[in-house]
Amino acid sequence: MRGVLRLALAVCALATFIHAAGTAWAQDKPLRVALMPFTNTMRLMEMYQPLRESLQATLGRPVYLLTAADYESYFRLMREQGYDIAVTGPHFGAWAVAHGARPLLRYGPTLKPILVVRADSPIASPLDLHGKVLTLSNRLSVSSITGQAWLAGLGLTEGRDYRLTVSPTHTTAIMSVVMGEADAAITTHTPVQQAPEDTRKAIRVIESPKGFPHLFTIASPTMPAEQAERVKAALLTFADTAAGKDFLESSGYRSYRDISAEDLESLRGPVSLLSAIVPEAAQ
Amino acid sequence: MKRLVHRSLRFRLIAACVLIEMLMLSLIVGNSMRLVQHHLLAQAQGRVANMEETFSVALAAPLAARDHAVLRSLIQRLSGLDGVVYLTLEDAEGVTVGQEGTVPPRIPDPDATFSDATTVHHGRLDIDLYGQPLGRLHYGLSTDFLSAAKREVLLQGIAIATLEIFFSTFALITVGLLLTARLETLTDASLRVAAGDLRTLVEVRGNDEVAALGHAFNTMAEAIGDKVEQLEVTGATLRASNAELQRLAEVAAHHLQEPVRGLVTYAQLLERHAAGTLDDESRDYLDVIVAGAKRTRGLLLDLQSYVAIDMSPVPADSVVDLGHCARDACAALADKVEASQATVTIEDLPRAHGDADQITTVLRLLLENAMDHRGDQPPVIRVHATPDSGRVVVGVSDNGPGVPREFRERVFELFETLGTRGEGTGFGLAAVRKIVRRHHGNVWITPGSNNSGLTVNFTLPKAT
Repeated sequence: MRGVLRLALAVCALATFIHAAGTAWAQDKPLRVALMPFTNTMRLMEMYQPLRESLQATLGRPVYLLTAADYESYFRLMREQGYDIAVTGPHFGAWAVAHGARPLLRYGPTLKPILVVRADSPIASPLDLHGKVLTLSNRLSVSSITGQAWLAGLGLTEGRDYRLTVSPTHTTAIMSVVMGEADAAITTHTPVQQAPEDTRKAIRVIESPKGFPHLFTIASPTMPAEQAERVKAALLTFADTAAGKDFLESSGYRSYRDISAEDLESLRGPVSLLSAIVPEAAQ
Repeated sequence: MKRLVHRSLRFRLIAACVLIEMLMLSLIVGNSMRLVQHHLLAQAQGRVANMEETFSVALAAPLAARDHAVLRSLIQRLSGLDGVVYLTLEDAEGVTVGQEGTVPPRIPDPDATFSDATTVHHGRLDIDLYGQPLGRLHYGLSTDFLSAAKREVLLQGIAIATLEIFFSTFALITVGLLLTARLETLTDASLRVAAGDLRTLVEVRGNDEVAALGHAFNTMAEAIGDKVEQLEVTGATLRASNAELQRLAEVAAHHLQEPVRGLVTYAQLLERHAAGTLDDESRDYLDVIVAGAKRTRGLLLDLQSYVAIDMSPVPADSVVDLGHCARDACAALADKVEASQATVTIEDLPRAHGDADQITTVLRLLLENAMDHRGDQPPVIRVHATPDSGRVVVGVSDNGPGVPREFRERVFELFETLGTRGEGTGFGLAAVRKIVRRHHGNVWITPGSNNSGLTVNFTLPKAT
């Protein structure tokens, strides 16, 4: 009986410690939100300001947005857990969840790899890419990984059937097509939707038949569950505000939804391809 | 040099102008320095603000993206900007992500304002994006340009001021010579006028103030010449008139003596010759005739003495012992002193400028006057003197009845008497005033204490 009592006291003390530690974790440091660099840093920071301000107000603590120079750096940041919250590509998110991160929410739309060509381009299907220059937003983006898989499935091989270049971001990849530096770019609908109107008018989209979940919002493996839940609630609160609705509408993200087991399952292939490209991811 | 300052108007004018010019130039240079520093500091502050904006724009995005390679490259490029001494960039966690230039061992606190008090202006820039702190840049900017600009302004100001002072001094000397040369001509002409050349005129050129002064001098010289000429004529006339009057008085005094003496003599002979036949009334008439004739003779003698005073010269440098004079005067009146039972006290008297005989006469007349106008008591007379700023005030005090206030001036007129008891003819005090004035002195009466007696005071130049 005495032993049970001691155990109960120890559990209570441990719970109190964990709660206190969680509170301290919550209040001591700013909340770091790592944004995937799918566009240039300034645009990215500007775009996510409403989210940052809402989280700060709801959570009562400072929120810092951070990003990386490119996808490689960003994925390294994720591997090194240099974030508290990450708004990341679904394959990065699935990989992180598989490595202990807490899945919070994903954006509602389906993410489909697309081919962007100039509006007056003769390219009507991926098969027209023979002898053309194809640019990727980044080798590690989910659109690039699944898009290349899409082309491979059609029998197209890099170097033999088309020449491949790599742009720093989705935005620059689209702009390369508009400027005539590339004949086509592999990206997704979201960057197209986020592009200026004159750019959108100058391009045409060829859609992949297969889709994937949109960007994941995940919590670091080191974040206590209670804090993760508070952040998730704050995100949903933001989505209900006017600023949040405007953010979701203008960005093309439309809504938040839970990350399901099916979502994670659908990303098994891209995560395998990611691990093939980045050996460290396989560990 | 001191003589030059005091004697030369030209030197003083030039020195004053140069001093004022130096003062004004100092003010101008000092004010220029102040304005230059003010504007340079304002420009420097603007430059600092521009550089901070440049730093912020350049570094914000790569800081947010944690793109360290780009950050280091940017820090290297930015540190090469003109005037940048060092740059040290920290991220939001305070970790140094890049630094270039001459970085101090310990990053100093930022300076509140830009100034040239130190060679490096230390600054700190918090880099943020949409209110989110991304990092902090510590920078050092050189202030050498500020010191160099001030030094350049100062040196140029001093050089310009030196040249200006040199040329203006040259111009002032030239103008001064032209101006004072004509003043010197006027000075020479004035000296010639003072020496007696009353017809001296200066040549007047131009139409300026000095020319006006020359015209005025010529007018003055001509007026002085005319006035002096008139004075000389008037003086000659006066001198002739005086000589004639003096001669008339002498002649009158001398030639009237004889008839008066005959009048007395024959009146007395008649009195003795007809002593047995004259009744009392006739004898009284004869006594009146004799008394009137004697008084007339006394007046003529006094008039003769009065006129003679002007004929006695007063040597300019002669010095008399007033005590000696007083004792001589007293000795001359020994019989009268004894007869009147007077007590005469002569105090210590100083020496003074004057003619011994005439001063003795003055003292004798005053002692005699005191005994003649005595009261009921035997006369007590005191001769005393006090120095008074370059002169000696000699006093002869008595215990007589004194002189009413309204007569204290009048008694010094010739032949004016109070008509009281005494034997005076009104000659003594008039003679005293005449002698004292010829010695450049004054004479006046002050009443004695307790409404008793009086003091006749006169002044003489004090012997040096």
